[in-house]
Amino acid sequence: MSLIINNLVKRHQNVVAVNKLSFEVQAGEIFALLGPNGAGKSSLVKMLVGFSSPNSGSIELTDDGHTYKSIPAHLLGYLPEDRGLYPEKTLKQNLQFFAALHGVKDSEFTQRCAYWLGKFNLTERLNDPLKSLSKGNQQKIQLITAILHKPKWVILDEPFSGLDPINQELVVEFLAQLRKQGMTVILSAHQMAMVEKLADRVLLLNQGESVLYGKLSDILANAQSKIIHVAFKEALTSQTISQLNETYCVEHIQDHQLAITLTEQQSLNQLLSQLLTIGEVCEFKNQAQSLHAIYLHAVAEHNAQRVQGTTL
Amino acid sequence: MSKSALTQQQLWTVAKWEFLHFFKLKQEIISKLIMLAIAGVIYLFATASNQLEDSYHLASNQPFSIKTEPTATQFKFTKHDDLTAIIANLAEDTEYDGVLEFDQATHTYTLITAVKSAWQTSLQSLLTAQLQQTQFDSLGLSEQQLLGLTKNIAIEHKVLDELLKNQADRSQTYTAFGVLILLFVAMFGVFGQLFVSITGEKQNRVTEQLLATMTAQTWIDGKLLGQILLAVKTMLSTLLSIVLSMLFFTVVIKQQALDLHFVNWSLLPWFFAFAIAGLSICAAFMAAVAAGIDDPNHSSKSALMMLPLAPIAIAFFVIESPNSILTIALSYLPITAFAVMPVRMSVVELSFWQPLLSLLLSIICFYYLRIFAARTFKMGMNMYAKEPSLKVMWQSIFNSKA
Repeated sequence: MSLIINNLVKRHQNVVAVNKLSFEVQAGEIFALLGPNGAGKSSLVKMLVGFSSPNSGSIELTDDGHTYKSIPAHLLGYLPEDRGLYPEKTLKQNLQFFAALHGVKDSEFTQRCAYWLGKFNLTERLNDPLKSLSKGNQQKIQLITAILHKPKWVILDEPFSGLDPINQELVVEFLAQLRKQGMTVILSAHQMAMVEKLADRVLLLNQGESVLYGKLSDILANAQSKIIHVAFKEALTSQTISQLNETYCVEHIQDHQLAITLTEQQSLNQLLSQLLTIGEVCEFKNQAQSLHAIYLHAVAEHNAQRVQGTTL
Repeated sequence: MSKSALTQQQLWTVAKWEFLHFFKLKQEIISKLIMLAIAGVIYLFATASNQLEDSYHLASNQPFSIKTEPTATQFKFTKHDDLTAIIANLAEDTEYDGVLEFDQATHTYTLITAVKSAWQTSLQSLLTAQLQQTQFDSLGLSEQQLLGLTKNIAIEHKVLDELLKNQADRSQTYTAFGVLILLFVAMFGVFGQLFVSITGEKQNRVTEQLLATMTAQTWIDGKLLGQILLAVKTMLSTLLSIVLSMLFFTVVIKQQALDLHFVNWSLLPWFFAFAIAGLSICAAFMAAVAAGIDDPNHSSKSALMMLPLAPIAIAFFVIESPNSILTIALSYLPITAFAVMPVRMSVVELSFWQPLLSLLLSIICFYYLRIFAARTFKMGMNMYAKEPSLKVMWQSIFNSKA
């Protein structure tokens, strides 16, 4: 069971929302879709759930010997970005309605409903109208709605938005539990710290294109080797830093400390040789980089490349 | 669960949800109880006004009795030579309710009462009938002459157009128009409910979640089914209220038998079939319009939803010329047939296949309109807070797949 996206293109009139996108989601993993606003995540999600069709390229999901062109409703649990339920109805009525639409039997519903409401500390509110709940608690109900029928594939668009840090942690636990139960989770999020805790693999989109794609552990390890933290015995002059900046991407942290980002073509040896000509180096080490920093760097680099491409 | 079984379950789940969203059992019971309470108040008022089964005692200056049964037993007359004292004490007198004075010179009766009350009107009409009879008796007329004087003159209207039924009698159309009026009441309910339901779900941002569970077609079909069931419920409960009111006023208040001779029982099943077909077509049309509305407060399309009421108005005009080409055409055109064909059937002899064909065309029209509604909805959902124009909606009928 896998989801293979090949050379996918989606245009909205003159705007290319998704441009030649190819990636694969494997069964049982948590796959994070990252990207700034307008990167094409929602357009991609709408194609994955079958709300819209691609202009070209393909989506191929294989499950139990069947092949689908989008994730079919009976395999899907979906939390849309543009979300809401029936505010006048009770929690039970809302959950029961969606469970019935997915063919969940009444006895199973009662059992699952009690389990998930207990997990989110909402058992006592079962017969309260949804609108009487806080925004965060309403979002929890929406999450339960998406998975009550035990789907194989779960797509969650911004599951952390509108939640306080404590509830964000609850959702992290919730997602980890889904993975434990064998569900495949595709989530789109801006909270990098949460994604870093959870995701097995990530796809970073910018302006409809893939900027970064792969195992999260590989991406973090790769980024770690590229940022070098250097400390000199004496303070550096601005002239020296400018000279270094001509070759490398340099961040001046303190008077005598620098953070230097290497490109794939630049080697550690070359850098060290050059640094030794400047002054006495007392510290030279790889600096751990957060997903947040990788994200910002990758998007900035991609934007710069596009501007360069346009200019040329 | 197989795919088709799941689709069936989804259809009924949406229909039930839709039905129960607007059907409030508690309110239904309260409204019926209010009706009962009003009926009770009317009954008590009628009883208190001495309208029902009370007897009245009148003083008269000559022996008098009313022969007509059964109401005559209500009135008892006692002869008194001098009525002046009784008239003077009428306001306080508990023995007499009134005085009936006969003037020999002018041959006129005068009814004198202390206050005005409803029983006096029925007494007056009884007196008029009886005095007229007395006058006839005094003339010494033969039975034939008497019959000639009392018989109502009726003019029978025969129309030579062979297609028309024996009488060009408008009472033949009462049943058809009765069903149309019930349909009109139900349709207004469907207007508001479908509009609130579809645009409300859009406003509550629940549509994407719904469409991740089923197709747009199943969703629209479920909504239509729920609304049609609600409309049928409205028609039946309105009919029940009307029948109960008629029974109450005729049997309980007037103490007469209920006369339903004007109901065309043989055509009634046809009329209901057309009413349900019309409801379905109009509901599907309204669903399509509502599906194309993004913000109900700022949409110019809301006015379009009143369009399905036009055929009911047309039906009131076509009765004048039931065999004109225009009327015949309208009785087959699906968007007007549900109103025009029943009226035509009431006054024109039609072969069985004619209403059947009209009904079939209506069903086919409904089938495609619901597909149009689902396609419009799906297309509108992907337009990102923009409302589809009528042109785009029209194109969606042929382009997209729900």
